[in-house]
Amino acid sequence: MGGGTVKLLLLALLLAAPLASAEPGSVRGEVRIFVTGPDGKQTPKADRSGVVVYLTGYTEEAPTEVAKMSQRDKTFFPSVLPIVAGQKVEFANRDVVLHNVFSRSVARRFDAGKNRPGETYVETFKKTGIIDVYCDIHEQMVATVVVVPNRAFAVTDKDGRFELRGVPPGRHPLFAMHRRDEKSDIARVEVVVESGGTATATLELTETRADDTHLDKHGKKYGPRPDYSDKSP
Amino acid sequence: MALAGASLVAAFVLTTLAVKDAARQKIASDLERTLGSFQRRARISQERIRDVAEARAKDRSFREMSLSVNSQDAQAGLGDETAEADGIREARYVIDSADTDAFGGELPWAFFNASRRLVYTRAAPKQLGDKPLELPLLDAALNTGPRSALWSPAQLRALPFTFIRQDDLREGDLLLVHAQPAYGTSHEVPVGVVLSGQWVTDVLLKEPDSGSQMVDTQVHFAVRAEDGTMATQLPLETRLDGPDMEAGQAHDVYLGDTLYLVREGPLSGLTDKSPPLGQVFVLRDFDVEIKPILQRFQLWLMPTAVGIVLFALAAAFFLARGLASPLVELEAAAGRVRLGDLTVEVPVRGTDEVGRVAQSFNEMVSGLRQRDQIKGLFKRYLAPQVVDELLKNPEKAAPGGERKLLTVLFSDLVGFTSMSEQLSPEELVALLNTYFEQATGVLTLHGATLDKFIGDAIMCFWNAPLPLEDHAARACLTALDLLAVVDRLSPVFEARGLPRLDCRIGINTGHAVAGNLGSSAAQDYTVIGDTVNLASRLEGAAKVYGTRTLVAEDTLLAARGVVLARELDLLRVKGKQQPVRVFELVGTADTVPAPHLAHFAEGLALYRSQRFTEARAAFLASPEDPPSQRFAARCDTLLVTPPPQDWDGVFTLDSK
Repeated sequence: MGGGTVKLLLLALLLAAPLASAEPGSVRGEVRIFVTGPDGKQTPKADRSGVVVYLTGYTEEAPTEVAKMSQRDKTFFPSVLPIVAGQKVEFANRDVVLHNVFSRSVARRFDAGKNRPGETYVETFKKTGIIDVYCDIHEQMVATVVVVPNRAFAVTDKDGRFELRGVPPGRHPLFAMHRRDEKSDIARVEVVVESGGTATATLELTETRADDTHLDKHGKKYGPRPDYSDKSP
Repeated sequence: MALAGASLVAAFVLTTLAVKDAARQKIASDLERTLGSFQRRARISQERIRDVAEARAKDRSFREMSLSVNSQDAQAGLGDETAEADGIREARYVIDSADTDAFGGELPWAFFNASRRLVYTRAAPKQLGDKPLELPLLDAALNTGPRSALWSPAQLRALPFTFIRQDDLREGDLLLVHAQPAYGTSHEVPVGVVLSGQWVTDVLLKEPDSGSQMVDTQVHFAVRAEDGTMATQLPLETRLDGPDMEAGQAHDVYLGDTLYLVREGPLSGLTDKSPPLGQVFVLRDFDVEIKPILQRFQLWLMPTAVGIVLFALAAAFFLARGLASPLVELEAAAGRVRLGDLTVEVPVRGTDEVGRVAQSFNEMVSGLRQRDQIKGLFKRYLAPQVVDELLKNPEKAAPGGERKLLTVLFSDLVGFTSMSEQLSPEELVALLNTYFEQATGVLTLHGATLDKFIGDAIMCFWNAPLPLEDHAARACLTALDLLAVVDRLSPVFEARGLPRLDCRIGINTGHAVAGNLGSSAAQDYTVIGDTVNLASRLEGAAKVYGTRTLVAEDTLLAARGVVLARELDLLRVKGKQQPVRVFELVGTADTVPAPHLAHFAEGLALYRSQRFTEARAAFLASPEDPPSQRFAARCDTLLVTPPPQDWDGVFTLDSK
């Protein structure tokens, strides 16, 4: 009985506090990407899509809905997927060949095993972090799942613009992280969100030339391997 | 010889010392070079470690692993406190599952992440870096780049993690450690440090392979870490450096009984800017080092020196022989001269003393030879004193042919042929020799030149080769003395029952040629010419007149009255147109003329005036005088067959 009362009280506090103190604000802004050429000069990148912009400093419950990342034409769609910690992601094979989705990232190691066309695999990401997602069969398939602590995140459009909504007022670190296969650094700024207001921020990313190779799920180099099998794994 | 040996020994000792000193210098410079090459080797070793670490850090799998080790989650504001440890565990999983060779094979190595937490150490794969390590080498590598160090076993043991297993620790060795920063996607920020180690004994102090070309077993190295620990190839009881040692100089160090030359230098780091890792010592065994040099030197010197000495001896020997050979020849020549061989002539070489002696010797022998020739030429013909005179004045001899006025005398024994039939050859020769002995004495007395004995005949002449002014007179006197000899000897002969000994003498004076005649093998000093022939003819003609002497008028005139003579006839001998007035010697000038001489002169005058009857009477007046008898007989003949109108009173002798 006593436990239930406490829980209720806490819930009331949580719900009442923002309502009582402040309205959530938003952050709007732009991500600029610079490419470092071989001569060392930095040139602005035209396509600024696919950059995940997020806030940290507070956590929010994950949405119950399952995020989706499918494989098609030996490519992950989408190639960058921000989710909230605790959220599930469904990896569906919409291709005509076998795929084996896996990750060896610190935040979450998983191995979906071989999925035949039409099969799906669902993974829950409980920890925040950057999850590099690969296919054990197709080396070229690269995707990034960014597990963030709250729902205030966005993915930039072609112009690099973004808008974060439902941000509690206060001072927050704001991050911008590109798809991992773009191999850019991580931009970090601080934003102060007024109650019900909209803060603006500009984040700058620099792409460095680096190889985007990776190892298979066993930590070994990719070799030629069949991507079609009649047998179930 | 002893001097040569002593100087050889002295030269040997001196050169040995010099060679030793030079070898020392050479060894010292070798040390310098060896030190340099060791330092290069050390740097190459470090570079190799660095390259391995760098390659490892660049390896894709390593990079992948290092990404998970250094998760960007924290950077991205998404990490939590367990993420790093999870990443390290993940990396260990990768390294373990990956081919370990790809990460460095047998060598000890370790990996630290950017926060200096141990990710993996090969010596203890289970070890987990639960907190950042305070290690100066890691800081240096993370902050300034690749860095090397020398770690002693004590230092290794004190490490906060296991780099070398306790069992694998090597006392007396040092670990050459290299810290290589590994870079991930960003080249500015290292994702970690790869730590590699190699034992100094393995990489730097390793005995060279026998197949290696750089085999130099004489060189030993020692490496000292900064904490004083040493790794050496030799058991060391003493410190290799001291306060009295100059840096950059080779110095002597005794290890036991062995003398080593030692050179010290810093063991430089990876680059010239890197701090030195420690010190390196190069040692060379001086005795072992110098032995082959000395041996080589002696091998070369001894035969050369001995060869030179032998050559010098041989040269001296031949030189002395060359000097002595003329003397030896002179000695031999003198010996031959002593034995009477005057044909010797020693070769004259050069103009030095020996040459001049040889020249003088030749001249002496030539003088002797000339003297001998004169003697040989004249001793048979001349009295010894004449020969001596000639020897004193060789120019008087004029042995070549010369035409001059001579008086020639021929003497022949009468009846000797019949006498020889009654005597044995021995007796004959004894008799003849008795006669010749005395006759020769007479000739010698009068300075005659004896031409030859012809059987029992004697031929001699005067005025050659030595000039004699009274040659005609001497001839006449000689003839008289010869007659005296015969008179003296004839009683001896008669006593033996032999026929009476008598002789005939012909003398002529005139020009003739005197000289050495004959071949080179047999030469005579003789005279030739009509004068000589006439003398011979006169000797034969004496028998016609029954006289013992027949002298030409020229002789008598030239004798200038030292003898008494009677004119006998005007004689034309065979082969000569000119008649010769001939005389018979009667005696010396002081002889009292016998009465028949006057009768004969009277008869001769009548005979020449063709009053033969009266002449005959005059001749017959002295029957004891053989010429008178002959002229009487001739008158008888002329009376029977009177001479022609143009008769000139000359008697022609047809026979010889």
